[in-house]
This record gives sequence, C-alpha cells and structure tokens, in this order.
Amino acid sequence: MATSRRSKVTRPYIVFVVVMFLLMIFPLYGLANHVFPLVLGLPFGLFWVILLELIAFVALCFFYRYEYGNGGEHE
Amino acid sequence: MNNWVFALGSMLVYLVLAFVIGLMAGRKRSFWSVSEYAVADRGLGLIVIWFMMGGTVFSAFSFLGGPGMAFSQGAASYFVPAYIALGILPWYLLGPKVGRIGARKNFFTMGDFLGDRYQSKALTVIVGVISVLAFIQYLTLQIKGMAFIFNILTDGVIPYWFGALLAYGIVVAYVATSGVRGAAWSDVLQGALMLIVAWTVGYYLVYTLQGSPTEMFTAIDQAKPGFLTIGQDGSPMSAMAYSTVILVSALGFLMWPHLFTKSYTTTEKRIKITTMAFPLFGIFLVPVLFVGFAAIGVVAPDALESSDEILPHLVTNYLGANSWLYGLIGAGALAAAMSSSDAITHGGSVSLGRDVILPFKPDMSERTQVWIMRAGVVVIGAAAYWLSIFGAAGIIALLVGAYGSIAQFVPAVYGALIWRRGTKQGAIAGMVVGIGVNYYYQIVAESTPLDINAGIVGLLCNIVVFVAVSLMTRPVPATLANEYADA
Repeated sequence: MATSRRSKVTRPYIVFVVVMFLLMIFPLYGLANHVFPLVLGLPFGLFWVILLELIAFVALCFFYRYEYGNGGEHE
Repeated sequence: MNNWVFALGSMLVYLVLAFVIGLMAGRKRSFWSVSEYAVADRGLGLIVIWFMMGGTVFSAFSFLGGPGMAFSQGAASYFVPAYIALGILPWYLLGPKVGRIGARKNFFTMGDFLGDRYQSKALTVIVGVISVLAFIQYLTLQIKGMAFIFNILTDGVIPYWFGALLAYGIVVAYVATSGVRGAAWSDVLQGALMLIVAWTVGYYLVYTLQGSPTEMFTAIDQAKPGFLTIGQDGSPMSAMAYSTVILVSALGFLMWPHLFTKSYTTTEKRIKITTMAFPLFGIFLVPVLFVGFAAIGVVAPDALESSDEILPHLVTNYLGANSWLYGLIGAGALAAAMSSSDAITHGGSVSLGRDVILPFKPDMSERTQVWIMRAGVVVIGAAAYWLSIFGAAGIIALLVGAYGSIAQFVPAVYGALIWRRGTKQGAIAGMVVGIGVNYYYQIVAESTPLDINAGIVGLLCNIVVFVAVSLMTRPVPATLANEYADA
C-alpha cells in the first residue's frame, strides 16, 4: 500500500518544494520585503519566513498522513 | 556570589552531566562493531534522532554568529531560518531512497554511496577528504565559540586554550567511546537546554532593553531605514546575494555527509517524521536573532571587536545583577556548540576511516576499522583544536566557506538518484571544477558576477561539466544505474 501511495506523492511533493523555494527568494520574496505591517511584533519580511515554515510543517504533516494513514500502525 | 563563579559553576555542572550521559549511552553495546559505532546498528529512536539533527543546526552560530549577524546586517540574517526550513525538504523523498540503498548494500557514509554508484574509489576518497576538511573547519568554529564563552563569562579566569580543551575534550571522550549513541543521547540534554536558554534570553533582552518587539523594530526602522529589508537603499544585502546564499545553503544542507550516515541509523518512516519536525527548528531560531536586534541603539557598533561578541557583551555589560541568567547562558551556549561538535566529530571520524583510509587497504578487519575511527576522533579533534587556538577567521565566513565546497556534491548525489547516464569521469570532473571555482571566488576574486554567491557560480560550472563529460564517457552498467534511480 505504502509503495503505490509513495509514487503518487512524488510529483506533488516536488511541486511543493519548488514553490517553497520560490516564495523564499527573489523575485517572489519581494512581495514580503517590507518592515510594516509588523505581525506578532515581527517585521513583515521575517514574519513571511516564519509563516512559510509553519506552512511547510503543516504540508509535511498532510503528506505523511496521506502515505501512512493516521499513524495507528507501528513500524 | 560573583557572577563569574555562578557561570563557571553552572557550566561545570552541565559539562559533567553531558559527559556522564554520553558515556552511559555506549554501555553494554558491542565495542568493536563498525555498525554499532557508525550507525548504532540502524536502531535509534525518533526523539533521539530528532535532537541529534536539531543539535547540528543549533551550533555556536546560535549564540554568537546569529545574534552578531542580526546586529550588524539586519534583514540579511533572515536567510538563516529561511534556508534551514528549505534545506531539509528534499530529504523527505531522498532520505528514504538513500536509507534503502544503504541498508541493502551495507553503507555507512556518503563516500560509500557515491563510490559504489559511480564505480570509483577515487570519488570516495575525494568526497572523504573534502568532508573531513569541511568538518574540521566547522569544528574549529564550534571550539572557538566554546572557548570564547568560557573565557568571557568567567571574567578571563579560564583562559582561552583551557576552556576549549575542557569542553571539547569531553566531546572527544564520549564520541570515541560511545560512537553515535554517545553523540545522540547527549544531544537530547543539550538540545533541550539550549532551546530553553535561547527563548528565555532572547525575549528577556528584548523586553529589558527595548520595551517590546514592536517598539524595537519600529525604532530600528526609524533609525536605520532599509536595514530591515533586502535590496533597497540602506539594505545590508542585494536581492541577488540574498537569494543565492539561501539557495546554496539550502542545497548544501543535505550534502553534509553525516546526514547520510544518520539516514543509515534509522528507518524510512522515521526519516520522514524527522523531516517534518525540521521547519520548526527555523522558528526556534527567531529569538536568537532577537538578541542581536535588541542590541541595536544600545551598543555602539565600534564597542565590539567583532559582531559575534554581541551576546557576551550584552550579558556582561547590561545584565550585571542577574547571575541566574549568566549561568544559564553559559551552559546553553556550551550546549549549542557541543551538540554540533559531537555529531560532526563523529561524522568526520567515520568519513576518515571509511572513505579516506579503507580504500587504500580494503582487506582491513572490522576491528581495525573501528580502531581507526575511534582514533580518528582524537586526530580530528586535535587538528580542530590546534586550528581554533592558533588560526583566525570570522565565524560566518568560515561557515559559508565550508558550505561552499560541500554544496559541490549536489550534482553527483542528485545525479546518482535521478540520472542514469551520469559517469565517474563526469562526477569527478564536475566536482573538481566546482570546488576550484568556489575557492577562486571566495578567496582570490574581489567579487562575483552579478553578486551571485560563489557557491552557486561553482555549482553552475559543476553541473555543466558533469553533464558534458558524462555524455562523452562510457556509462556505468545499466543494472547498477537502475538500482539507484529506482530505489
């Protein structure tokens, strides 16, 4: 089961990684390259980096859950 | 009680704990097995792996270079959380592949992996030598950090050479005796400690010196327009330099050979869970940058010899009364430096034994191999110690410099996994050219074309040469190439 799901995941995962890279560097990072508005006390440019990290974490959780189910079974 | 006595006391307590945990970890394990020493018989648990990998991220950089970079270069320092989040992402796909191939073929290092795929002992040795050099360079920086923290927090009572010897000596002792288990278990203590310290100290400094994060960043932007952005008037870094330093650091992140070794320590599922946790490490680094930002407008830039000294400077000059914080920072900073050092020292010793020495004498017994690796810990340790006491260079330059060469493994490694046509000659030629170009732009040339990071210029040349030479030379056997590409 894991094998077929693994191969299905590969392509979307590569797209996800490329998008993450592009959002972190210029020209797209230019969208976030401001000091204001401050969010949670952070300059917007830094908040953007943190936000993307949170998104990456959540996305990874979804990928993992898709491949292995609810994590009920043990290795 | 004097602050320095308190600091010394807590650092010593911490050192004893780290030492005991490191030594205990290797008890009742087979002392003479390469598999146990290098990859803990491929059976480390999740939390331990997580802390071991996290520990490598939180190095001396967290308490010295990171705050220094925020203080002196503002928004340029955002590149650190950015590349840490990105760097690990490809590992979710690559890690299990590498782990599967490694388990099947009984690999321990990246040199094993590349040498087998490209059928070249020379490649194994090149990768081994560069890895060991990069490891030593990286260690030098950690040892300097430890020595510096000891020296400044004890008011100079513990001299530079002795602080380094004490803290790093302990690392060498538990790595040599307990192998990867020693490194991993002491990292759990060290990781927990430095996370607590980083957050406490970061926020404490912001609230004491600047009122609140909002007030702080507003004030900085008023005093230094452009300092908190990239590529504008008054910005510390151009858009191209910023983007390419993120790219080279993120790509190079996976090429640290000890990561390969670690993927052989665990299962596929655990590799994926480890990857999941990584973007969070980037978030944990934010308070580290806060330390540097909190000093802006408080400390005059010329009050420091080097911006790396900003945290110790703040501690000794602005936190006079609080000896608890003093002790915490001492222990936390040592933990950060030591948790990277143990993993890197271990990785270096495995690379030295397996990639550099074994190819010249392939019939070595397992006992001799383990003996060489354990002795390698001491040899690498001594070299790094010597360099850090007598050599000199800025922390950041050293880190980026080591990364520059390591990132040149990218084409060969990715090529092994996705391109069946890559050949030995192509991989070697690409690597040699990439490393040469990188060194030229880092050391000889004044600047790079378009302000592109030296490592990326090297990488572009590397890829062109790798592909061109591969297409002109004879491919490796199809079954072998397929085994890697389809793993």
